[in-house]
Amino acid sequence: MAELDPLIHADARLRLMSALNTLGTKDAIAFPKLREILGMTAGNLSTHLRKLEDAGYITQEKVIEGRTPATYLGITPLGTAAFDTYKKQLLELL
Amino acid sequence: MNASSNTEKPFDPRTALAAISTTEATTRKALGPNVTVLYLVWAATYLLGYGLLHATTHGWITLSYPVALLIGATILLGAIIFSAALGIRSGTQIRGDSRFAGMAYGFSWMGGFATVAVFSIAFANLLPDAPQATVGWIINSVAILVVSLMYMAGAAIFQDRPMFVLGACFTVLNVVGLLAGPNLFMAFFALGGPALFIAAALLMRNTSAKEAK
Repeated sequence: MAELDPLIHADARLRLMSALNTLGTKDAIAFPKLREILGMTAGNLSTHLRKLEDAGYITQEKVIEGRTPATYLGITPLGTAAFDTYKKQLLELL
Repeated sequence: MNASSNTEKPFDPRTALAAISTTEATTRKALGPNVTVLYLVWAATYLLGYGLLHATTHGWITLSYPVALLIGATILLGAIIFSAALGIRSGTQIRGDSRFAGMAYGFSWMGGFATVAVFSIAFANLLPDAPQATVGWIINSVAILVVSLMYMAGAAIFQDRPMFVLGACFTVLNVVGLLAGPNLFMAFFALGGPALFIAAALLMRNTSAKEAK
């Protein structure tokens, strides 16, 4: 069996990918709401998001809402596929 | 869980799968309104609204029918405002298809009930001499038709099977109410409506609890 994807394998990134995968590829979530769901600090979350974005698993879109800047995060089809593969591999390990 | 930390704690796929399930359940809860609370509010609304009208029609309480109707409409309006607020709040900080679906679904409810309100006035004006119970019987069957169709349509949009069952049960309840006639339909709605909403609320609560485990 192929090695588990090291990008998803870290606990924080696994939960992050789980949350974004639940949201689906057609939706995006604001940074504060995602942080609230995951119970992570802003700095910690940003670090993990950057790694996943570099791999093409997620997207970060910066928008202006009213007069306030906001960052929306979503999973890409590549990220969904990687997450599905990771889950399948976990089930095979049982 | 990181490969580098495996020397301290062996990796357990069960723990990882449990973390995925817990996060999925937490995310779903954060993304949508609290449906259990929503159904319980509507259970209370049906019980109070239809219960009040039934009690007034049968002379169980000393209240004129127009006053009972006004109180019922106020209760209904309160439930609509509460539901809309819950829906709007859950959709904040989300962009994309699901937000549009939720917004379109919310406006469909409003459009449906606005039409029922106009129909009610038009129908009552059309038959000014008809007994109030008969007019109410037809108007409420149209209202419940909208409710049942909206739940079934919502089930299709949000892929929510319990919601479809709820809509289908309301269709059956409506048919029963129509067959029961003008004197009994409100009793069926006053008791059947809350029973269906409470069953749906319990089902949703149990499903959420299972997902969180």
